[in-house]
Amino acid sequence: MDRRKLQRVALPAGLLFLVLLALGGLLHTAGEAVKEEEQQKLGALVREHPEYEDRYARIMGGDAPGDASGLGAQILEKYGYDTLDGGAYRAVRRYFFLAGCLLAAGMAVSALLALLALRAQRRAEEDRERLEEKLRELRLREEGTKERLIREEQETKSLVTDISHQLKTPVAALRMSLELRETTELTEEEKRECSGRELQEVAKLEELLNSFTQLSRLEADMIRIRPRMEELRQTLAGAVGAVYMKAFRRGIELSLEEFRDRRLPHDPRWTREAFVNILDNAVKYSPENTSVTVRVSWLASAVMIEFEDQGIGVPQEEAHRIFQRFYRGNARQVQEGEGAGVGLYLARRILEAQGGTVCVKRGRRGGSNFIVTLPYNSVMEPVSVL
Amino acid sequence: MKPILETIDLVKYYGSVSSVVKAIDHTDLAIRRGEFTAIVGRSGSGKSTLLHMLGGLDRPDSGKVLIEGKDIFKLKEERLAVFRRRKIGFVFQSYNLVPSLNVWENIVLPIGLDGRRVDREFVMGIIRRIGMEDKLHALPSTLSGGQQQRAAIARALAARPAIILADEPTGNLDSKNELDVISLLKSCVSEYGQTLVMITHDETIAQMADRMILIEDGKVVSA
Repeated sequence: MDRRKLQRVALPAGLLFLVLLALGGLLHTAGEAVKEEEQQKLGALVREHPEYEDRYARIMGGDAPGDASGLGAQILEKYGYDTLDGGAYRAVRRYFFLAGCLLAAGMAVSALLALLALRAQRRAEEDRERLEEKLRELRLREEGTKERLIREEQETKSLVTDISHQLKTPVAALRMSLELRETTELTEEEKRECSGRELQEVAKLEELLNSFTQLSRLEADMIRIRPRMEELRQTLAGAVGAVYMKAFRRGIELSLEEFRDRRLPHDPRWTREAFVNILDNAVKYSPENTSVTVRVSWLASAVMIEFEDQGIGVPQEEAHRIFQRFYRGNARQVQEGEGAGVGLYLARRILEAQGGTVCVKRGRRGGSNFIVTLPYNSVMEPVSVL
Repeated sequence: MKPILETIDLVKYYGSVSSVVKAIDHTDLAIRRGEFTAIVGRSGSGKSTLLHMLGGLDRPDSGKVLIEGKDIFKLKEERLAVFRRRKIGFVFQSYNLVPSLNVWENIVLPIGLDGRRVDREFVMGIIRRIGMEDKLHALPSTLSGGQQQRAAIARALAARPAIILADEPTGNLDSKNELDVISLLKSCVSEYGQTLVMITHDETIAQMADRMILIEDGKVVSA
């Protein structure tokens, strides 16, 4: 038995003992009172008839004949005395009443104490449970951090593998072209073709390197998203401007529908980057002479930005994978086109780091509709995207 | 690391011997802490039954559900209720707000039931986040579907459970409100470090999840 439990038990038990002691005292006093009354009566009787002193003493001393009780009651009744008011009886009754009160009070107090103790015990138990739970949560969080570090390390390794894998194809093509030039006599036209192809591969390498630089900065926790209150229009218009020429050259009409501007917590630079990536993707996979429309709607707790194109669309079964790192669609246009499968992944990471989301739906006029949300109230502290 | 939520060989059949519906058919699942998992499947594929089991709302025929490594069906009914109240927040398709209580009272109700003190600042942060500061004293019947669902989300978040289980939370909403509610759930859960498991038949929603689990005829087809 621990000390607290002992304390809890000792208090009511001590109280009970005190009550019993007081009860004993009361009974003793009651007996004394009865004795005194009897002596008083004996004294009074002897004073009246000193000649019967010995008889009275015998009777009061406990030697009264058993059948005298009825006679006594008759005499008392005859002279108008209520038996219940009788001297000794009154004293006993008073003491019994006191004893009853004492007992009741004692029991009530013990019960109260016991109840309080029980409640305190329950509260202590709850507190302990809550603390244990908190401790477990902390431990789990620590485990989570450890696991995240391990995962990050693995991710970095896989990133390196993925990057070298991505670089292999253009480098191989370049090498083939160069070797061809070394080993074979080529006509002027063939040489020009070779140079053209080599330049193309170099451009592809450059684009890949660009993506990788961004990606590695993101993965190495070097990109920090710093949301601040800024107008959305400026960010969005900046992104549209960045892709505009590319779209124009391909005869794709890029338009930003009119909307009521509003300030919104976001990192203008990186959010613009995310929008550019989404728009770039839309332009890349749209046939010539189509349009890409950007539409802004204000929802209850977030802004919704739609980037709708009339391009090749995203098959339903690929929809949840296109935002994964290095994922490239299975369609012929995707496989043949440039890109490393980084843009949309980066966009998603940037948007999610600001409490936003991105998803793709089928467009209303064919093609796809990329839908971005950004909340009005999000964490305003700078967050690392990892 | 141990998964926060795990099922081991979970089984639940309905109906008589002659026509058995295998709502959950020997399912093993593991959901990691902090992850947003979407459980996708057609209606009748057993996803709601699965979610009810995960939340301890319904008992399986056999198998286990472990939450933080604890077998929840080994708990007595009363202890299970307490455990559920502290660990899990539910968001249902039908909102399930108490009609006679206003928005604030609905949101803090589970905290009160658990005998905890309301962290007003924290709860107000959530309410600002869901954009309902001006609706605190409104009764649910005066709110739109989207507003009611956002209040229900705030209620689930306010008690700071480790896990939020959402059963088709946007089933009754139009596409704009749907997007609003889903992005809200997703970002709140990641802000507060919680684990979200959402049932849906909508593949667009599933895209936003970290992980998608496909259920067919009570079985996990792909994870």
